[in-house]
Amino acid sequence: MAQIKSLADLKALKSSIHEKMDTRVKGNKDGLVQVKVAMATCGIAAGAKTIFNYIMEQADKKGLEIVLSQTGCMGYCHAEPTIEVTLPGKEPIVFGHVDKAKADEIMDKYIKNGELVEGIIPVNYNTIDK
Amino acid sequence: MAKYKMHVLVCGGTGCTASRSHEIVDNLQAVLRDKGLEEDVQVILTGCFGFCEKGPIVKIMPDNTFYTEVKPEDAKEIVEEHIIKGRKVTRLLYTDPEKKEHVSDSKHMGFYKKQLRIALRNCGFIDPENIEEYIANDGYAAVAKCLTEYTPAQVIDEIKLSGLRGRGGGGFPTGMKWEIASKNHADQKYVVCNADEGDPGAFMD
Amino acid sequence: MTINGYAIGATKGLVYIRAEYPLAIHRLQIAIKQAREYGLLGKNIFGTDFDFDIELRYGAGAFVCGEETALIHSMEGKRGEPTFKPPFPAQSGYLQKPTNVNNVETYANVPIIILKGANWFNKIGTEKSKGTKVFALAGQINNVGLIEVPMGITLREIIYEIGGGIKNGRQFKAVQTGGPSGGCLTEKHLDTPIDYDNLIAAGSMMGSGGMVVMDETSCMVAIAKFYLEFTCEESCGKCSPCRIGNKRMLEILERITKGQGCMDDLENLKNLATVIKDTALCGLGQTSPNPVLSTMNNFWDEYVEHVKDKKCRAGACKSLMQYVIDPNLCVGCTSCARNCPVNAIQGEKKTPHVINAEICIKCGTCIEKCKFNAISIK
Repeated sequence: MAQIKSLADLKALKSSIHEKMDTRVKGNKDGLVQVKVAMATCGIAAGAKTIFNYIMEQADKKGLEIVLSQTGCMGYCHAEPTIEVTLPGKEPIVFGHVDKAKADEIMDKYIKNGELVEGIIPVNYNTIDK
Repeated sequence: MAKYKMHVLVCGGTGCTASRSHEIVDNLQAVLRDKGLEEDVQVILTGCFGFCEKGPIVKIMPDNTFYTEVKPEDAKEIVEEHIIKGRKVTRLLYTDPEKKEHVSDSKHMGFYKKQLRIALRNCGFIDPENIEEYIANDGYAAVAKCLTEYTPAQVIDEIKLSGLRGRGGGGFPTGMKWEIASKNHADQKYVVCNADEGDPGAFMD
Repeated sequence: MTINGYAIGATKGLVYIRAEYPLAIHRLQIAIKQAREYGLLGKNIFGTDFDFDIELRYGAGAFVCGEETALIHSMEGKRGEPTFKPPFPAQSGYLQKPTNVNNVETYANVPIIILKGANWFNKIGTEKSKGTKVFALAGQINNVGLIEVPMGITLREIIYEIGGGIKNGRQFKAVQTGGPSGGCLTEKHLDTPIDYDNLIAAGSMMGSGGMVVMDETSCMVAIAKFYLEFTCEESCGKCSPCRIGNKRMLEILERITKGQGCMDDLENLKNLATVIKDTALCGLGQTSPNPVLSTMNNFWDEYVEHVKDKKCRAGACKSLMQYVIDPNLCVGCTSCARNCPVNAIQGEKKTPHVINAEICIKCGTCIEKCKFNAISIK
C-alpha cells in the first residue's frame, strides 16, 4: 500500500476509506447489514471466535449478504459473546449471550425480517463525537 | 423486508423484573392482539438498561421514546395513545432532574452521559486488526497535527493545560513528566508504554 | 507514543507488555507492522524530519515490573528490581537516558486531547482530576465489564446505575479500588465523587482502575489476606520492610483467619503496616499495607470477631466455621457418618447424629450425602 508521506495523504486516505464504507453500509435501502462480533479477551474466552466463524458460514448458507467484522471490547463483559447488528437505516442493536442457536435466531428473525429477539443489551454510554 | 413497523423494548433487568416488567410485556401483547396489531408491533424483553432506580423502563423504537416507572396497567394507554394515535404518554416520559423537562428522545437523556468513552472511543467500533478502520476514525490525525502544526514545546503545553494525570495509579501530571524529559538533553531518549497491568482484577488495558 | 516522542525529542519507543496477554501482543504486532507499511512509523513521518519507531518487550510475570524503575531494569536485561527516585526516569531512565514511562490509558487520551484541544478535555472531570477513567468492574455486581466515566462520578452511580446493582439481590459491603495497593470503600463513601485526591483521603487510591465489588459473603479479613499473599509473592526482596515485613503481616493474618489470633496480633498488624508504608523502597511495598489498614479501619469489628469470638460472619474463613447437624431434621440414616473420611460423626441408627468439631476437616462430604438438608455450616 502507498506510504503516507504528508498530512494531505492521510486526509485523502481517510476520505477514500469513508467512501468505501459508506457505499457498503449506509445510504440506500439495498445497503448491507453490518455485523460486528466483540473479540476482546472476554469475548474470545466466552466463545466469540466460534460464533464469528458460525455466522460467516451460516450467512452464506442462508443467502444473507452481511459485512462481518471483529471489534474490541464493547464493555458488556458480563454478557459475552456479544454481537452488534446494524440493519440499513436503523440504529445498531447489541445482542448478548449469543450462542449458535441465538445467532441463528438473530439471522432468521432480525436480519431477514426485522423482528427483534430476546437478549438485547441496551447501550448505556456515550462516546465522544469526533 | 421488515415485518414490524414498531418495536417496544421492555427492560428485563433484575430491578425491572422485580417491578413486574414481565406483566407489562404480557399486557402490551394482549392489548396489541385485541387491536389486531400483533403483526405490526413487536414487544420484546431486553437486558438491563442500567436505569434501575427509574424502572420499569419501556423504550419505543424507532422514535426512541423512553418511558420510566411504567406499570402493567399503563399498557393500554401506551398502545392506544402512542402506538395507535402517535401521541406520547407525557406523564411516563423521563424528566430531566436539572431542567425539569420531559425528554422525549432517549439520546438527549443526561443518564447516557454517565459513561463517556474517551480512552475507549474506538473499542467496539473498529476492527483492532485493521489500520484503515482506525484511520477512518481519525487515527494518526493527532500525530499529523503535532508534527505539522505544533512545536514540541507547544505539544507539552497542550498536555499540561489538559490536566491529564497518569492513569497507571500514580496520578502524576503527564505534561510535567514530559517537560522534565524534554529538558534533559541526551543523544538518545526513549518513550515507554507500560502495558504490564499486574493488578489482580484489572482488565482495562 | 509518537506524540510523546516528538514532544521530548525521542526517536525510539518501547511497549513493555505482559506476556500473559497474547491477544494484545498479537494485535500490537499487527498494528506496528501496518503502521510501518503505511509510513506512520519509521523515518520522516508525514514528510517531516522526525523519525520514530516502536519495539515490543515482554514481561515475564512479575507484578513489580509494573513499577517504572523495575520495568526499565527488566528491559535492560537485569532483574526487575526498583531503584531509588530521584533520579526519575525522565531524567535518567532506560540505558540511563531520559525516558518517559506512561500507562496505556494515559496514551489513549493523548490523541484526542490534541485533536479536540486541552480546553475541551479539562472541562470534564473535577478540579484536580481532569478527564475520564476506565474502570474494570468486577466481583459481586450484575454488569461486570469495562466502564469509562468522568472523574467526579460517585460510587453509588457506578455501582447501582451503571453496574446494575449487587448480584442476587444481596447488600453492598465494600468495593476494593486500586488492587493490592488500594483500600476498600464502604457504604459511607458511596456518595464521594471519585477522583485521585478523594480516594487517597478515603484511605484507598485510584490505582490502575480495578474495582472489585463485595457483598456480605466477603470476609474483609480474608480479603486483606488475599492481597497480602499476592504482594508477598510479588515482592522483589530488595528491601527489608517489604521482604520481611509483608511476610510477618501475612503470618498474622493467616493465624487470625484460622482462629488462632489474639488482640496483640491486631496491634502488631497495625504497627507493622504503618512502618512498612513509611520505609519500603518502592510503590509495591509502600502500598501493600493499604488493604490491611483500610479493612482494619472500616471493619474493625470483623477483625475482633475473628480474634475474640473465633467467628467469621461472612462464612468465608472455613477454619472458623462449624459443620452442624440439626437434630430436628436428622433422621439418623447414618449416610453422613458412613461417608465421613475422618469418622467425625457419631450417632445410633434412627437417632440424630453429631459432628465432632475437633476432628471435622470441613470437607463437605456429609452435606453432599445428606438427603434431609440437616447439615449446615455456621
